[in-house]
Amino acid sequence: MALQDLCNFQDFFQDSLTKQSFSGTFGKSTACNYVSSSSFRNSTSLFRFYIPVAEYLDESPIQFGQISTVQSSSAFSSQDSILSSSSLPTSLPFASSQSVPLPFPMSHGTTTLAFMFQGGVLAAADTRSSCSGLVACPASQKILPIHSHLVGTTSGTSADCALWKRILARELRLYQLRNGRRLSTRGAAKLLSHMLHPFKGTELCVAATLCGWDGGEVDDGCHAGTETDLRASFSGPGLFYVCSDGTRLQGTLFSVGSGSPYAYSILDQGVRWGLTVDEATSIAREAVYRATHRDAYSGNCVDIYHITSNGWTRRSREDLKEEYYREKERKEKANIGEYFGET
Amino acid sequence: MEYLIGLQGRDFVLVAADNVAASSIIQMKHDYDKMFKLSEKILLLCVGEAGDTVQFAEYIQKNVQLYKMRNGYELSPAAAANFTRKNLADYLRSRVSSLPVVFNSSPHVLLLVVADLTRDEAVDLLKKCIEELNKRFILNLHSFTVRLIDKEGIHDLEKITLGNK
Repeated sequence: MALQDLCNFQDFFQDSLTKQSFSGTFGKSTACNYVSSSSFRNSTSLFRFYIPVAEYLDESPIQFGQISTVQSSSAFSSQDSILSSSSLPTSLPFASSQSVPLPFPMSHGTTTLAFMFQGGVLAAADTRSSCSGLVACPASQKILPIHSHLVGTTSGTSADCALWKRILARELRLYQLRNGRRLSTRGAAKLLSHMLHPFKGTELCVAATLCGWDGGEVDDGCHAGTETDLRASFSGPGLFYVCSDGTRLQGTLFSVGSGSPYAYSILDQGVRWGLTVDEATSIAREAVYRATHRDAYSGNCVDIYHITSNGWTRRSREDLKEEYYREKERKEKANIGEYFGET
Repeated sequence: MEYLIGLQGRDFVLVAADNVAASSIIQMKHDYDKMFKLSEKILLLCVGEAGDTVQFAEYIQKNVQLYKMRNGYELSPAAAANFTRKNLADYLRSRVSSLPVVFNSSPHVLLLVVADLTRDEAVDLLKKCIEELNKRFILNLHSFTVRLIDKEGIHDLEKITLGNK
């Protein structure tokens, strides 16, 4: 069947299993001629957690660090938009053991934060993409939705984050198709952490917090209900921090990036479990605002996403310079008030 | 920087580890558990470089559990330690350029001669060690998970938390 060829299922599961799970979902097999020519589902498939070996690098058609016009332009454009190119990673760029000159100097400036409270999970981030002193994009998106009930904040290299979020989204969707339920946030964090592990020690830099809501979904009828009922009993918010150096932490409050100390200062004094949604939104906004005020690599606008059992909702993007001018006005009024002796 | 300690008494072992999960200079978590339960009577305490600790410890953990599933009985602590050590040595020898896993030489432990400690004496000694740590160590390690292992298995003891310095 087409999907089997696509995903090399014969390598992973026994024949009987694949036939059972897919005879229901795919009534007809479509002839996908392009599949055989693309090499993205060969032995470097991520499910095998391939560890790079030197021999592979010599044969790789795309050598890491070699600047081709196609590569550098796609790296730049991915900084200001979600990676939407149609080419999936045909061969993942494993770094060679010698250090290779990077096409441009990278710096990892951002402010992202996420916390859990009684109303769900709130994630906020600024929108500045910087590139060693230059604001490469003032309107980038640092919170990327992965599926209806999971978003991830990104910090580190924008291109790496965008790519790995898409890869994670693909793997989660495959899991959902195979197992009839969404993978929990904890499972998604573990999956991302294991996918990033082979790249430890390379220049890859991804520091993400996964914010999601688990459980509470109706069985789609394709699989036996008893197994899933017993297994997935946890339902509720989940917040995990995953870093490409291997850290994977569960928590209720995280802030990542160069502006995170400033954000922590606001969050540590304001965040409690009992916040209302409006209060939580204003604290998150304030934290990002203060961080953008002090940190050179954070700025421009703030994005806020709120995740509940119904999925994620996005607050419209707000330009923080308005807030800065409003605050300045307030201060001036207060000063004038004092000067003239008003109470 | 992190802290682990183990004390062996007459018929028990007392272990403690701090609870901080840090990322460079920021404490990301204050209640992080650094102990991995390998089996009913074996704990692995692991510190070192960020992702390597968890990956390595989980690998050892799953393998010990697999042994139990395959053979029907658990690995002894000595055997588990040998297995861990062999894996660590192989791992260290396989990568010459960088050492991914480091057994951290933590702040030095004042280990007195531990002859025959009773449980209470051991807990007191542990508290003294932690007080000394608090006095001399540059980092503020606020709370410690404490567990006791004896022939009945692994018991959680009360967390030791210190007031502000």
